[in-house]
Amino acid sequence: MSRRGRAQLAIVRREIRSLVGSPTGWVVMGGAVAAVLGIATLSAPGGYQATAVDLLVVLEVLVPAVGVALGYRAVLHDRLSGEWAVHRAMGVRPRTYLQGVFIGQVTVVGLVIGGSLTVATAIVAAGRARPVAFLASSPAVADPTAMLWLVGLSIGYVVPIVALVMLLSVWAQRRRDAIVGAVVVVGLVVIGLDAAAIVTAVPLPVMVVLSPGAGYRTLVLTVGVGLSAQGPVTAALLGWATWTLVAVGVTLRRLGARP
Amino acid sequence: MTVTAISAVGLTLTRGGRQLCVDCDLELPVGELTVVVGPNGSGKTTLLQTLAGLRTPTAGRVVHHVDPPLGYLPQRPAFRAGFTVAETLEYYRQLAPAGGRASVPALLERVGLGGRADDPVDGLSGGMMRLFAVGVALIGDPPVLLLDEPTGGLDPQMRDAIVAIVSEEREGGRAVVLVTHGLGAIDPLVDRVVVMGEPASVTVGAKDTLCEQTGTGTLEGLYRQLTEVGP
Repeated sequence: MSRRGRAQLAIVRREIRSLVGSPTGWVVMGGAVAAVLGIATLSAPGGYQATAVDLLVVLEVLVPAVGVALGYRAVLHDRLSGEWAVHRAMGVRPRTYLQGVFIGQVTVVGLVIGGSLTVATAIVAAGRARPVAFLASSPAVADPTAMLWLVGLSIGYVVPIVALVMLLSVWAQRRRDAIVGAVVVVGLVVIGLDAAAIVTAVPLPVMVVLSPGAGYRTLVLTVGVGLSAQGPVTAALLGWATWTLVAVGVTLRRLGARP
Repeated sequence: MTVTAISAVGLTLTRGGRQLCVDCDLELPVGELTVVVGPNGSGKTTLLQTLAGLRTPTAGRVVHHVDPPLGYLPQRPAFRAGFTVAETLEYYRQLAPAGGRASVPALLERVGLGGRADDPVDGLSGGMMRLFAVGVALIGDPPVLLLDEPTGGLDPQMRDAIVAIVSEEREGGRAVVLVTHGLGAIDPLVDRVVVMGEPASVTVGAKDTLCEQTGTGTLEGLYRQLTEVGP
């Protein structure tokens, strides 16, 4: 393995262990899993599609909240403690370091969200209503595709969220800044960007590009659940890609200029 | 012949709009110990970070004539919680280009933390944390060591341990740069001195030459003379 690959793998492992090894991490992850499984249990009799729609509402808030709660300190701690300076002096490039942190965070948050949704799918399989034959044969009730799409798209939603969290972690000068910034990021992603787009009456595709949360909703409702036939899927994916690339680019630039 | 590990040419540093040094030339030869001294806030840490390549100078340039890694000790080192002392050092060994020749246990033994391998790294005392951070700086066999206040806040035994390590590294052919206020302990080892006075006056030279020019016999006397801090 190349030196860069070895260093990056070490950074990924460290990030994963930092996240899963902290008591705060367990509380956050436990809370997220409990919320997903609780809703799945309550919604299971309605079948896969109904459960996916019920979960979507919660996941729009839960994914950014978990991402921010687990990740806002990662780069910030390394900067404030001098560990980032030690990394750089050892010849670790900002890109290698950020990729390692990014992959580690996406892995953990993705596993928490994806894992709990996979279990939720099993709960629906076991608990969906069976007595009415025509309901049981309806794709909305009996076809698990909606839930499987929800799993995949939720993991995808983790990517722009983690990119924004890393930007926050590099931007903050102190822990207090990071906590304030965390609230702002969650607020923006969950409500703010949607609200701004609605107030300014921008067309739906533009709104979906501007708001990662709206993009997630669009993708789940269009591709996953199939409730919306003509949602701007391409715009949603473009929005995610843009948010991710811009956030990572600004993070890299800012991190490279600081000891 | 003197071999230079790091050189700075026409270096100008500013922080918060204040000039710390102007058009300063500096060479850090291998096998020599250079000490950076100056009053609090004179820019010693900024200079060290610039030499390490962590900061971009306002003007001028820093040239590294050696390949990474550079061993760097931050002023107030701390490490991520949730890992043991040995795990943290192993992590840094994996980041080093050659993986580091010294084994983790051997290095911990060297910095006096052989019995602490399985302790949580965030549970080390301030002094032990500093010793450990010196171990981290050494892990990749760096040709250059840049140490910010390595003896700050240490008891005499720990301070002596750090001074002994610095001496061995210098003898082993590394270029060592120290920022320190503990001048007495390292005085006999020092080859070159960078005195950062105010405002932005920087004096650079061989210790013996500067002592001769100023008529002082010790590093502390030289420091007091050049920074005009009377006894």
